[in-house]
Formats: sequence, C-alpha cells, structure tokens
Amino acid sequence: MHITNRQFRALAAQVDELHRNNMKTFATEAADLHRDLHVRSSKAFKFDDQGIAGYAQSIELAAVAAYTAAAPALSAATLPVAELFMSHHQQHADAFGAVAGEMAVTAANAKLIAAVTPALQAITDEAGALEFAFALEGQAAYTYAAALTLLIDPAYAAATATILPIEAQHQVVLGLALGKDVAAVFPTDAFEAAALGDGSDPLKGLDPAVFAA
Amino acid sequence: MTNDHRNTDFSSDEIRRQLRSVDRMNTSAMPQWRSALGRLFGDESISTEQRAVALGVPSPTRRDLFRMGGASILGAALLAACGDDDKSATTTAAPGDTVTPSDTPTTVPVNMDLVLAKTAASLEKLAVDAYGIAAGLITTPAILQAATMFAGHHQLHLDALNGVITGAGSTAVTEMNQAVFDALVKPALDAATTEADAVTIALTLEEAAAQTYVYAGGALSTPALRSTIMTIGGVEARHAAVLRMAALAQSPLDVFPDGRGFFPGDNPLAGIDGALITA
Repeated sequence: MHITNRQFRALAAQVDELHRNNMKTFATEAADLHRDLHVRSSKAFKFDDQGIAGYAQSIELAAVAAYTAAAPALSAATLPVAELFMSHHQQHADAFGAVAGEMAVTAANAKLIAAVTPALQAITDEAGALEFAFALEGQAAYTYAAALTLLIDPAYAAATATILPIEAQHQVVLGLALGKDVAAVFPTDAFEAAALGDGSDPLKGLDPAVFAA
Repeated sequence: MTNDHRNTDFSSDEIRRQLRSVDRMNTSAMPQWRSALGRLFGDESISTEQRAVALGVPSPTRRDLFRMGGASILGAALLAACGDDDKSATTTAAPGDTVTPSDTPTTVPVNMDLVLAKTAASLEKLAVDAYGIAAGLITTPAILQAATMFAGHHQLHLDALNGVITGAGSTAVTEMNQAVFDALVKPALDAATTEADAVTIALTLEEAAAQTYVYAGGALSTPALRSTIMTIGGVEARHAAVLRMAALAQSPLDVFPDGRGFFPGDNPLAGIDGALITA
C-alpha cells in the first residue's frame, strides 16, 4: 500500500503534534523536577525530616492564627466547629514541633501570614470566612501529601499520614457548610494533590521554597 | 496540487504503526526518565562531573559549558539546581509526644509493599462492589449520585493500585477482599433494610479503608509509595465525612469522634484472618 504526499503531510503533522504534545509533558516534568531539585538544594531550608516537621509546625500555627482572625465573622452555630478545627491545628503544630528538633519554631509562618492577610482583612461575613478556610485546609492536605514524598523516617511519615485526612475532612465540612455540592468537596477529584505552589492556587500545597523562613 | 497525489514508497499502515510505537515509547519513557533523574540526583555519592556525563552535558565546572546547544540547557539547569548544596542529614529527631523517629530509615521489608498494595486494591474492589449492592437500598437521588461518584473514585483507586502492583511484576487484583467482606460487610448487608443501613455500611468501609491507608502511610518502604497511598487515603476520609454529614445528617462535630485531631493509624484489619493479601 502506498500513500500520497497529502497523506504523508498529514502523517508528518501527526508526528509534529505528537512531538509538541510530548514536549508539553516534557516541559511539565522538567519544571517539576527542576523545582524539586531547587527546593532540595536550597541552603535556606533544611530539607530533612526535622526541617519538614518544623515547616509543617509553622504552617499549622499559621492556620491557628488565621482561624483566630476569622472567628469574629462566624455565627454562634459555626464557632464551635471552627474552634475544634483550630484546636486540631494546634495539636498538629505541637506534634510536629515535638520532633522538629532544632528546626522547631515558636511562631506562625510569617510569609504565609503575610500572604493571607489581605484575604483575611477582606472577610466581611461567615461565608467569606468559611471560603477562606476551605481553601487553606485543602492546601494543608496537599502540603502533607507532598511532604510525604520527602520524609525519610517512616515514623515521621506515619504521623503525617494521621494528619492529612483530618485536614481533608476539615475541608469537606467547610465545603458542605458553604452549601457546595458533593463533587466540590473533592477539589482534586479521586486523589489528593501532591503538587506544591505559591499559595495562589487552591489546588496545590504550600511550597516551602516560597514560605519557609 | 498534483504533487499531493503523487505516490511514494511509504506504507501508511507501517508509518502509523511506527507513530504509535514512538508514542508508546515516549509515554513509557518519560516517567522512567524522571525517576532516573531523581535517582541520579538523589544519590549523594554521585559527583557533579558524573551527573554531567550521565546527562550528556558538559560539566558546569568546565569551559566548554559555553558551547552547549539548546538541548543541553535543561540538563545543565538540573546540574545547577543540584549544585554543591549541603546534603540532607540523617534524621536525628528527639522523641516526641506523638512521634518517635525510627532508628533506621526503613523498617518494612520491600515485599511488604506488595502485600499492602494488594490488600488496599482488594479493599477498593470490595468498596466498588459494596456500593453496587448497597445502591439497591438507596432511594434519595442525591445520595445515590454521591454513592455512584464514590464508587467511581474507588475504581480509579483500584486502577492506580493495580498499576503499582503490575509495575512491580505481580498480577493485578480483580477480586474483592473476601475476608473483610465475610467479616464486616456481608452480615451488615444481610441485615440492611433501609437507606440509612446502606449508608452506614458504606461509612464503615470508608473509615476502615482510610485507616488502612493511614497505617500503610507509615508502613510502606519508600516516600513515593507513602505519598501515593495517602493521596488515596485522604479521599477515603473525605468520603466518610460526606456520608456522615450529607447522607446521615450528622453534625460536623460527629465527623471527628471524640473531637479527634489525628486519624487512627493502627491496622484495622489486624483481627481479620486472611484480610492481608499475600499471594
């Protein structure tokens, strides 16, 4: 069987499209890898288990601070739930801090606080507060899924694994309280995301390269 | 355009076969490429010079760096990203209240990974099947829609786990976990007569699955596996929360029994003979 030049050009176009599509994947893979390697090589952040625990502790303390700031906008019916979530985050911070060694922190993550302050200041009602917390809880869960790719000691991983589902459940509770449909409380569908971002994307965790001190 | 109709010596079937082959090769090679690079840069004993050789680029320490072509830029960028950074230290954390660092980085034999993956896959199949059976009792459209979505999630989880299992050279799991079905699900299904009964069965399964994943999240031998398993475990926990609030009309506080701030991480299948899939 033979082909015409037109068919050949069409096939060449397919090759070109394949190439372009694969280059898209290549670029994404390379960018992810580059970011991972950059993060790991950062001299400013110690990317061992203790460093990750200290970072997680700072994020949890920031969550406590954020809930505290948003609390005045909450109704009496909602406040107990927020207080429970805040206590969870404090417990998580304590757990991470207990094993962070010299990387333990004493204050909330300042960069994250600075990043979320405008959103916190813009909250005028309960829905706004819940929407803010909804995004933050998802980012916390995704941060831990990413952290698990780096934690070496299984004991640190085990502890992180007990915390991730709680953050995910916080997000579900907040989403349903907001009246979102069931699909919306699975923002990354059937799998938790393990990608990291600069905080602007609610579907990515909080990248230590951006937020670590 | 007469040229367009000129015959050539190319067989279109053959070219299409070649295209498909190239596509398959590329699709399979990319993850391996990334994995290989991860290993290359994760091994502390490999020098920058050796990495440069492996990547096919000039060493950044050499003057021929300036002769790099565009194709070499990425490899060089990777080298630069790795650089001469201080290498991460071995964990030496002090014992804490809730976490006790292990003495050794890896405590579980590698073959245990397969046991856990197969067991998790068999639970996913059980969940798919159980939702199918329980659907007969669900009359509320919104709950049925959620159950259908969750069953779909479980099928995706099963597929993902089977990808890990077959990737390790073993056989995909296609049967549900019979031991867990016999011990937990069948008695409840036999007694179920209402929608609430069906949802409660689903809730029990979801919480058991989530707990199994949390357990595996600390027991699997590599960080990549532990993360992968918890990207599933978190979603099972979400399922449980939805079932409690949206289907059983429980309070948000009930999602966290006794106000718990940590998901249980002990093995929920420990008391069920045959629940671990070892074959």
